Amino acid sequence: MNLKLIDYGLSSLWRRFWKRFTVILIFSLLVFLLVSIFSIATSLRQELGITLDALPELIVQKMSGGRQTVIPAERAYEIATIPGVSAAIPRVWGYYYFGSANVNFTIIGQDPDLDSYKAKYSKLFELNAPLIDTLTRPFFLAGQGVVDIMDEYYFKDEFFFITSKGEILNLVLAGTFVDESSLETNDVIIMPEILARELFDIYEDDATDIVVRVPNPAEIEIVKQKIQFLYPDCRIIGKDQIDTSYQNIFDYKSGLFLALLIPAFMAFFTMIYDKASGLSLEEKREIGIMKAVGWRVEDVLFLKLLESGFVSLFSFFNGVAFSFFFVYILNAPLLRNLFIGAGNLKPAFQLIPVIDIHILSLSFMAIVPVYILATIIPAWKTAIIDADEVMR
Amino acid sequence: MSILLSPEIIIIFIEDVLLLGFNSLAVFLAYGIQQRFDLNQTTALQYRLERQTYLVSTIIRFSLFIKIFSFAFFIFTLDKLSNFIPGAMCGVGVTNASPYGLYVLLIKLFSIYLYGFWLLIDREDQKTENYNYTVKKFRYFIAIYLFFLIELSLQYLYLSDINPEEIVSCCGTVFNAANTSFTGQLLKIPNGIVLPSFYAIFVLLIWTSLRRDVIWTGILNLFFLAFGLLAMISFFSTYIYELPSHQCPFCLLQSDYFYVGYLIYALLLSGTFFGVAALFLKLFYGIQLKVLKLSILFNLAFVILVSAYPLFYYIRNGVWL
Amino acid sequence: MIRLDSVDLIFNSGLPNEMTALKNINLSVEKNELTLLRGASGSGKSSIFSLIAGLVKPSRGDVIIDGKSIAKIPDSFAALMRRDKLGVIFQKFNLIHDLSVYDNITLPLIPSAKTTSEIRLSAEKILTDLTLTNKINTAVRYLSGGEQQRVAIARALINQPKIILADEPTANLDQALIESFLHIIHDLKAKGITILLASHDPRFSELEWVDQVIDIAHGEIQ
Repeated sequence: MNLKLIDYGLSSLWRRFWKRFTVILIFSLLVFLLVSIFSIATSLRQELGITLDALPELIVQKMSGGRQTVIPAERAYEIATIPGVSAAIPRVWGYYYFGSANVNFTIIGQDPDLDSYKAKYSKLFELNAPLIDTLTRPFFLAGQGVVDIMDEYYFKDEFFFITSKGEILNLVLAGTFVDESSLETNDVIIMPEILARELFDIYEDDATDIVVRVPNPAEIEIVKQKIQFLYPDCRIIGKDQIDTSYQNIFDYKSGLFLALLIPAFMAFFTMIYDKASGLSLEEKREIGIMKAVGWRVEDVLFLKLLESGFVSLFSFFNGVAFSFFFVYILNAPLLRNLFIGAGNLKPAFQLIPVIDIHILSLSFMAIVPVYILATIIPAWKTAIIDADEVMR
Repeated sequence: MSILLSPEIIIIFIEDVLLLGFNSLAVFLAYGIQQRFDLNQTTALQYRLERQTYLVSTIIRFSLFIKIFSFAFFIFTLDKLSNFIPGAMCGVGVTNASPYGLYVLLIKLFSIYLYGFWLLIDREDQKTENYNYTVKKFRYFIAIYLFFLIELSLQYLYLSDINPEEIVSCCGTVFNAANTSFTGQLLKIPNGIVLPSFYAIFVLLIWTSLRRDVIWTGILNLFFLAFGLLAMISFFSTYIYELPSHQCPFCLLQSDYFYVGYLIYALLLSGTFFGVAALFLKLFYGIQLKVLKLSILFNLAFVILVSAYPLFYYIRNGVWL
Repeated sequence: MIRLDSVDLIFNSGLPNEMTALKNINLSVEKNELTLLRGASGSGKSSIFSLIAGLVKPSRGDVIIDGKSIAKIPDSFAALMRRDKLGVIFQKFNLIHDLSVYDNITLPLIPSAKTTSEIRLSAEKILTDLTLTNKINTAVRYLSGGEQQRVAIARALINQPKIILADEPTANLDQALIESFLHIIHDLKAKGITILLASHDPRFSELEWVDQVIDIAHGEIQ
């Protein structure tokens, strides 16, 4: 390793900085795009991980004619007796379509007398709505996204729901919850179970589905088979299935994006090749002089490839830094919409910063070899320039 | 959904297409050079060929460089794909998701060795003033290129063969002694035999290296590689995981173990590479390489590193696993 | 020190634009000799220099520098020979105008194994000899013609060469500068350096310390 050569390479790069500027700019831009996409995907995946941990191991749905239908709540007692199951809880929930804003809210019915429920939301009540007597007035809790939408339509403290039977249900907004991960809870409304039943017209003996907790992962598969055996009309969804399908979607989307970027890589490759090939007369003369005074072909090659190395590293770090700023400080405007479903409320989430070696290695491998390979032939052409011309 | 659309795989493909293109150009030039290179000629053609040798060498050098990174990246990818393939906990499951898996890994590794040997020959060649090995090294490159084509086809077969819907076995099953597969059978060899053999080979290796016996050092390095991997899986890995039943060569590449696996394998592979390279170059090209010291250095570092795990475990807990 | 044995140099051999630059050149320069190569421009002087510098290879015959044939060695070894044994003063100086005097004269040694401080030391010594010390960090493009010539000489001397090749060194110079150049060359010869001068300037022929004069025309020695 010849330090003098490296030093010379750096200074000659600096001398011609503006000549390389377009290359550096485009290179940085490509890195920026790649890192941003991968960061958003990873960050979302991370949020999903947080969300998934809270999910039950199994969800039991009753099927009828291939479609989901209400499930008798009593089945929960039966399921709870299966060894390995720590709890089986019937849930009442559904989507509520708010026509004016053309959005769907997710409404979850919960029994406010449950200890777990109290523990989770009592703080909220204290903070947000200390004045409302939750026992006497029907109320609901909502995620930030929901509250924002309601605000737009001038619903401040209460909201009029229309039940399945067409009646009006006037509920008080008792609090807004903000969770660690807003991806899931942004469009959620929580209300006492009895109100949710009224809203969706679900009888007291029925439930939307049953969630099953199985603490030991090794037992999940067996429990699943037992439930299936007990209730052949049910569909049982495992947590890992949800996980895999989500992950696949994120991967698929970033993969698709990358595939779309391939023409951009090609263009980049061609541009580099072109730029690196088109030596100015001044540069040609310089190389000729170097060779005439004792530089070997290897030395010139090394110098040129070193230059590529510097350019790619510099641009790479540039792109990475800019992308981190864009994703985690500006919260990735525009680009993140690529990954978020448009069906429900668009969640107003903050991307969780993840500095992931994986993202960096992915982006590095995607672009740096492309650049360096594109400069090999031009570098060689430069290095074999006939030096005897400077003699004439 | 095929896994072919995941970003890692796309990047591996982009890289391969580029490498294929450049290596094809290199092999085209190499063919011409080995056909028509004649040092006694003073024709323009001869001078052009001489200049082309620089391009071919540079392409091959960069190919090796990129291949080393790609290989690490490939393993990284396998590890990551284990998230998508049901049942797989680490790269082992993904490797076994297709019958080609193991061969792809081995052939990739072998390919890096071959490119590495080429570089060493090239280095020797550039030290001579009369192109002693030029024709030979380009002939050898044609062989490497054919091998590279096989590598690419196998890799393609492998990746398109993985079905993310299919449940595979995790490392716990594959490296279970009850398993009747080849790897399972190998692991039936008790540690009482593997470990002493491993250390014995290492001692012999040092001895032959110090005596500069290139032939025996090379052969012993091959054994050292095999037994090193075997001992890694059946013995040392359990101390890295601190779980007696967890025998796996892949999990230690994960962030849970600070990616230490990359260092461990890099040491073992570099050490044995130089040992085998000395043998290869001597046998086929009569070149005496002075790389045995490097070989010892890397191998020694490997032995110290992997031995440290059980030792520290013993010091901390007062028992062996 | 320098020997050319029945050297032919043909460009584009076998092609329609084939051009014979040199024909049957036999030339021998002993150590510490100053040889003057005379001829009109285009007569083949530069080609002989290129051959001696190993920048082109002969189509026939042999080129021997310091006891070693360079006719068929790889380019890299020819470059090493230039780096170790040769200093070249080009007709148009061939300096890099954006670089400082220091960077220009140390250019030949950048790929060498010499340390930066060693290079610095020899550069400063040469610059002192050529009275260029005060211009050490000035970019070459701001220098006068005479200063540029001295930088070109300094660069040719930086590697302490055994042989100096100077191609039309006095073209485009005024009388005073030519005088000072002759002075420098004389000093170099006194230090035991072998010098090959190509010029059609009649002044050189009159010098009594020229050891050998070779006339060349149409690629052949007359």
